[in-house]
Amino acid sequence: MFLLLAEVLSDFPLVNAFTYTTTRALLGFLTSFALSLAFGSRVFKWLYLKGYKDYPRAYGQDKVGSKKFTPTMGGILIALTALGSIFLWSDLTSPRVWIVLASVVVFGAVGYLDDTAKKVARSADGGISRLAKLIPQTLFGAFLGLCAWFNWFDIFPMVDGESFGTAILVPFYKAPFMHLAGLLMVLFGAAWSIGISNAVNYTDGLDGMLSVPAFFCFLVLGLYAFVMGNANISEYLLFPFLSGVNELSVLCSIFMGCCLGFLWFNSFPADVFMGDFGSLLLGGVLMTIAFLLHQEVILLISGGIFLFQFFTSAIQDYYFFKFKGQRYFRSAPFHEGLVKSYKMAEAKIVVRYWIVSAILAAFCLVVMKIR
Amino acid sequence: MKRKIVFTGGGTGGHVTPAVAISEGLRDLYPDVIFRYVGKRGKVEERMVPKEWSGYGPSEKSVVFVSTTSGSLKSPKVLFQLGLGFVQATAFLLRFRPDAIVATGGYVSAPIVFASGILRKIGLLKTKLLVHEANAELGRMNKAAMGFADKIAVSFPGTKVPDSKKMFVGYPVRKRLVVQEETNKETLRTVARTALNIPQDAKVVFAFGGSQGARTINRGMVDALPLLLADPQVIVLHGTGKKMPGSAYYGKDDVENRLKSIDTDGLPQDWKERYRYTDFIDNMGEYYAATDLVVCRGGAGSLVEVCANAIASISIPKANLPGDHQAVNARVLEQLGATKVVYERVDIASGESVESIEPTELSQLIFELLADPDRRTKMGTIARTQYDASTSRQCADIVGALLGDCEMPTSKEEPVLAKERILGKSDTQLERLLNNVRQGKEALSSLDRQLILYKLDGLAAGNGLVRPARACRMFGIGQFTERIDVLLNYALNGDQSPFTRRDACKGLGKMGVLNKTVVDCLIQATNDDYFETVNESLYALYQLFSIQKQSFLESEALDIDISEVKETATQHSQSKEFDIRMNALGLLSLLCSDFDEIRDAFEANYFHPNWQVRKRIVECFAEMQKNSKIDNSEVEDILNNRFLQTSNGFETHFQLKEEIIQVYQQESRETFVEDLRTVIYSEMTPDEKTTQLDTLTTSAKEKGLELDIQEVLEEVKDSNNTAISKEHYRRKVTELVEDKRALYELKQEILSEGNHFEYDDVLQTIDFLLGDEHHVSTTR
Repeated sequence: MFLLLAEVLSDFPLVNAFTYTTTRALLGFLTSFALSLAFGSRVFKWLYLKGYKDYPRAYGQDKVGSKKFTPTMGGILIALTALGSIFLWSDLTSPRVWIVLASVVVFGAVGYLDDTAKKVARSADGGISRLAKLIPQTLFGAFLGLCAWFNWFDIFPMVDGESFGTAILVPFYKAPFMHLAGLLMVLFGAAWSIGISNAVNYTDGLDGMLSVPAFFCFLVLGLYAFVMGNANISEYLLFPFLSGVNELSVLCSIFMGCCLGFLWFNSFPADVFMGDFGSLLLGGVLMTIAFLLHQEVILLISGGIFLFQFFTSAIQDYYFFKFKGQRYFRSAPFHEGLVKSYKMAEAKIVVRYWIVSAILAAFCLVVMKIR
Repeated sequence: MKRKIVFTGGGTGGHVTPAVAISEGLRDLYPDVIFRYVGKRGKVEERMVPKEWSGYGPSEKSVVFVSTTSGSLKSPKVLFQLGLGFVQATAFLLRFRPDAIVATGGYVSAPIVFASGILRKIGLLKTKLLVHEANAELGRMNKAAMGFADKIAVSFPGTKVPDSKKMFVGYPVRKRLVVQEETNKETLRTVARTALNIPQDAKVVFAFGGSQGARTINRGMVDALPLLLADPQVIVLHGTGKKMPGSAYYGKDDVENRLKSIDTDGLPQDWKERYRYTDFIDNMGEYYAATDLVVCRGGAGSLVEVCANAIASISIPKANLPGDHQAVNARVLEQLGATKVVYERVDIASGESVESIEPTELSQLIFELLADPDRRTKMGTIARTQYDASTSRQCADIVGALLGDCEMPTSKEEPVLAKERILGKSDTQLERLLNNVRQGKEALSSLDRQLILYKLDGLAAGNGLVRPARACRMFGIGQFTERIDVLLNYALNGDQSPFTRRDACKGLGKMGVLNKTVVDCLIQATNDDYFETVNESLYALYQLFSIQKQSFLESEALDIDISEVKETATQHSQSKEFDIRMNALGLLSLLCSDFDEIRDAFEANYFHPNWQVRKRIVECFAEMQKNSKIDNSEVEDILNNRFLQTSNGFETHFQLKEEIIQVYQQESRETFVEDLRTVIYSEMTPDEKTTQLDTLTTSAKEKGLELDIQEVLEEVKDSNNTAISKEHYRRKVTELVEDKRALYELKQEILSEGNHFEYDDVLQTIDFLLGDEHHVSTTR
């Protein structure tokens, strides 16, 4: 909104500063953070009174059991502050912004249904079925794939005579590593959507364990978007130049502010959990932005924590059925084992996950220059 | 207007026959009714329903097929088939537009029930739904259909259904099987026995296991034959069951094979005359009439037939069924006094899960009943009261009433039965019960134990990853020492799942039997590939040796080689897994006579990265210090100078939550004290008071109230009434009858009170109990 305002009032001094991406990114970050702090406790009180409380699972969870009745579905705070800041600071004429907003709505709705089902069942086992989650995830991913294939909304333009929509970019390679033609792109989009949103969902297990890695992922993607949307820098760093893609860096910094604002309340011991609403939403937004930039590999690296959590669960499942009920890890996802069997302090585990994700983010940023 | 009614339910005959019976009742109510049966292709209903309905109008197309399947709802295949069935059912319902649906359970009824429920919710259909349950325990499908049903008709008293929907009607029987109440039973019997060529004074036992036959009954009868035929008057009739398409079991072959295995030469000369087996009986009526005693399964159909003929029976319910429905059926009749239940034993120790029954037990029971004609008559009379030929008409009337065509019939009066504690309970509930028993919160009667064992055997013989493991654990918790062989077998059996091996070790530890076989087995189990099994076997050894400290000092008498155990523990104290180390160290510290023996194993762990290992070491030190296996100064030196004291873990205490729990307890504590006061002041006899107080305390314990009874009584006592403390002292005396020293102390305590004259009778009791030994030493 401020962008439109600035264009109208462009005659006044200083107002022009609002049209710069960097200014809006910084102000968006501050706005979403401030909104989180301002409305946080009110939202959580409302959630609690509505009955959105954490219920333990039927089995296990000895330690987490004592966190029973913590308000959950705090992801709604992330969604609200993000929507507010996006409305204030981003360029609402950009189709990319609307696609990200669509992902917020779709994944937020799935998370909302899941959390509500759990609330009604009064058990963490009572969420909606796996299939009910998979269908919207698949459809949204396929929609992204179609956008890339047919260059809908003109967001995947031709770069150097090649279609950018079907390209897959890989670190250390200047040119696109490979092209996924046609229907393959749609399938890839669906798989990508399912994979990332579920992997992020698995990571949400301890206080603050998802918000900080997500923060780092947004940071990395934001910087990549800035580089790819800037003609000079992209030429210098040998990235394909996409006009207008730097709008995504404003969105990324807004979500960074949301994550930190949420962490304010969610840090150990937590006042609120983000619930499936938050974890699905963050996963959905991350995968959408990475897809729009076609920097999937960078997200896989910077979000290595998510992959790790996902694969520990997958290995555990596989092992359990292959070897007739034998565990490979003490518990899955990995952090559960650390908490339950190794009895490691929760704060320590979380900080170690943060450290790893910071290192991964730093790696992604360094790789930007090495091409 | 012609009424249109849809029947559904099936998969097995037990679901189809009641539906057919109800249809006959409905035909009486509405002569021009139109029926449809919704079933699954290839199941019993496809053949049975057209045959049964053949006399009434066009029968082709009377059965409609939908896609359905049983199994877990999580599997996509099942979901797809059910979804398809749902669509088919919706289309059928919208086209046919029935007035009422009668569902008798079974997965076959799922599509129609759910489709009609949803169509009704959105207002597209006004069909009424009557659910009929044939067994004493609601089946899975009927439980799910409960929300949609207008009425639920049940066959057995005590079925758990909300009262607003419940109609206790009984089991509907098809018309051609209806048995009229015979006053001249004797003449019938004479005729039947002549027809069957049985001497009039013979004692006839008739065993059958339904149309398919039952392996347990077939084998059990053959095994019991030598014992039964020893009485020259006994004649055994045996229906072995016919061969069913798609079933591998053929009763007659099985019986013939079994006959070869027993010593037929040892049987009386005329045994072939007196033991008659056949695979199919078409004149059941004659058999029933000629019989003195029936041995049958616990299916609702068989039981009702036996009841209709007013015969005393022994029922052997099939084990390991969903909800134990056969066992519950039989138990209900047993509680009423109409039958006698024998539980089959699942033979697990051999590794084969063949249900079997003790021949001696069975024959003993048969003789007991045969010898007592009065009892048999009584059982038969009670059984007959459970049978009601008008049930199918009554069900039809319920449907009519739902449609507004007649008055709602009144539900029959239900006899009140004892609550079932064991049967029909889930594994988790059973485990909780056993844990409570172990902690002394609840008690089990010997029958309860028998029933639990019956359930656990079924679990242990089951396949899958979790069920046998559960059973092993529960054998241990319940201390069923008679199943120790199973645990010993499972703990070392590589074919079992690792969870089972692990829980078998756990069970051995909890069972508390210490002897050479167990220890050898556990030592061998420590070589298992799976870390949890090793862990549990070490912990089991620790438990066994620590509970039975006394006997372990005399372990030589038990012929246990302690050094071997120590060697194993030492070896595992350097394991890769931290929890194995912890248990190994614990075991070592328990077994050693001096710290020097195990110093090396401990020293290697002073800097173990996992703080829990180090915590265990400190605990071991404390234990060893108590038993003076180690010097205090040495412990101090180790812990201060050579031991890593930092820790990367801690227990969080949410103080607010703890306070909240305190407040909850405060409230219930106050009510408890209030209740206690009312009981004590009330004008009841002491015996009544004691029972009342006991129930109060148990219920308080169940609520999780942490109570010190003494303290609470003090509180009550403050209201200056000696009656309370008198009550308290009385109870205390009854508790302490055996312990003379404590009694003596109690006496001193009473005497020290100012108004001890009030307690004269208590003091007299104590004096009486103490006898001459007033001088019992008060020093420990």
